[in-house]
Amino acid sequence: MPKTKKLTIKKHLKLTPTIFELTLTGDDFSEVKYGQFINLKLTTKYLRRPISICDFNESELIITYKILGEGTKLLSELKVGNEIDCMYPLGNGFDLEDDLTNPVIIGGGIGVPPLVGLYNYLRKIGKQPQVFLGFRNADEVIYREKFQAEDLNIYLNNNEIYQEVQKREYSTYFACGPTLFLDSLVKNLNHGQLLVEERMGCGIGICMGCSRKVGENKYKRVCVEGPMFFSEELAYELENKNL
Amino acid sequence: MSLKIKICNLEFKNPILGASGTFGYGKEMHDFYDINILGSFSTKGTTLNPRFGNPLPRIAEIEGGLINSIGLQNPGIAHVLAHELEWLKEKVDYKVILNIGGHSIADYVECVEIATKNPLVGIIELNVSCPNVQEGGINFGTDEELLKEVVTKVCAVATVPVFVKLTPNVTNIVKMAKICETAGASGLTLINTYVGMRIDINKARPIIANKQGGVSGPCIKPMALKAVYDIYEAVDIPIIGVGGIQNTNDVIEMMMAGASLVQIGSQNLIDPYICATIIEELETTIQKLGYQDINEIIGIAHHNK
Repeated sequence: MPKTKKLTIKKHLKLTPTIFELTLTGDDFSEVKYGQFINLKLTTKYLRRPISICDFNESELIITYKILGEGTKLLSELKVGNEIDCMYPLGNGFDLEDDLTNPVIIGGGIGVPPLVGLYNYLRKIGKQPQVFLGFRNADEVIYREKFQAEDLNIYLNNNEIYQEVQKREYSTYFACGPTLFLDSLVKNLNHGQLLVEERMGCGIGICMGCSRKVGENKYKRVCVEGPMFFSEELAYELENKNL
Repeated sequence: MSLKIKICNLEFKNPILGASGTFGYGKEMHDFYDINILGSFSTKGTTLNPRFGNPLPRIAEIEGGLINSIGLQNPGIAHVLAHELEWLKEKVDYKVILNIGGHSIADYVECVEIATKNPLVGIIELNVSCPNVQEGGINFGTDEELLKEVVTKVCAVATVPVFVKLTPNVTNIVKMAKICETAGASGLTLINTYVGMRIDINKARPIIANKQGGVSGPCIKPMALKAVYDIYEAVDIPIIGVGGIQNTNDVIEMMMAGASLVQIGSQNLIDPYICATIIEELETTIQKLGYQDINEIIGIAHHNK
């Protein structure tokens, strides 16, 4: 059940000139699921900001964000000890009942952090997921250290990733990244789970601002029935471009 | 002190209502608090047939508000009565305000004919102003003849009070209000959103896929108040005030302008508990201002000019 609560900034790290990692405390987060998101209220901005959860434990929630506009710029200026009005946990998260016999993790840019918690979980239950991460250039590479070197493949060209994954055997891929990147995965790979991004009004399913079509007369709200969509669902919009 | 308000032979336990499009059909909000504490709420705009709505992005933020271009996404009246209202009747002891949109007079009439028979529907709120639906929604609220025709025909088939939710995107909203009253409307909901847009300067194109959308939020509150104030003097039917209400004082301000009931809209998106908070504060706040009865404040600003 989602709730609103003021959380306190415990750590605020600058990973690159535009990417920051924020650790929040002030609640028990053990009910959170991998792939869910949090909706932050900045005092001077009207709408909340939805940001994916990177990782969590009982007492800490980590989010990683990139400065893309005025809101994330303001967020980056907040200091350790400051409080933020947060609404969480939101969205469906990854489906861990799916076929996990041979999982693959695929991340692009700022889409990498929401896969970190999932990766740790998969390792913990004895899986060895192959990880494929794409970044625009060497300066933007983050979180190399969060993955075991033996699992990790890093690319500076996102287009190479689906071609590499196609060569492997996998049961399910788990992905997050820019829309065009995710589209390339949906078009070229088999079954997967993808975290998508959309402009939201509320984050709790009441405004219908983020509905995606997943079939004839079928829609899902990114904020409630998403942000995780199965590749088969996202294929519908790609195959029916002129909706 | 009681917060009860009575209009059109309907009793509301308090004047606080959720506004259409910011409250769904109640289900999501019920996860946050018991929605039976409300006076009532206005449902998501519902049409005769299901609609997916407009392409994405549908939302853009502005200073003091947002622009939306949802395009009346809803599962259609038959589904709403069979599922959403079925669920709701177990949860609330009040009747709801069913917001209805349409693309032709025949659509409106047929939709209202179906909806008016449902025992949970207390008021039909006619959305004649949704600025998002290109095939005509805008015309009903901005064209005097069309407005008169749709209100007359809907009132002829409705067995519950009909409130017309007017668009402010007209030269003279008072005139539109009088047309509705003459055509048989039992009340008015004032106001719907203003048409507006934003442009993404990096992409050099409108943020919203449909280019324009409806502006809501605290930035429209002064204009909403003015519409309620002016129309209160011009008509004898009750007014539901809506537009940029963020807190208890805003509710009182709207009631003093002439609203009998007040809808909370965009603020629900940011603070889902806002209606509950206002209901908790309202009685004390009114008492502190020196009033014995909530009904005293309705339109009081007109007597103290």
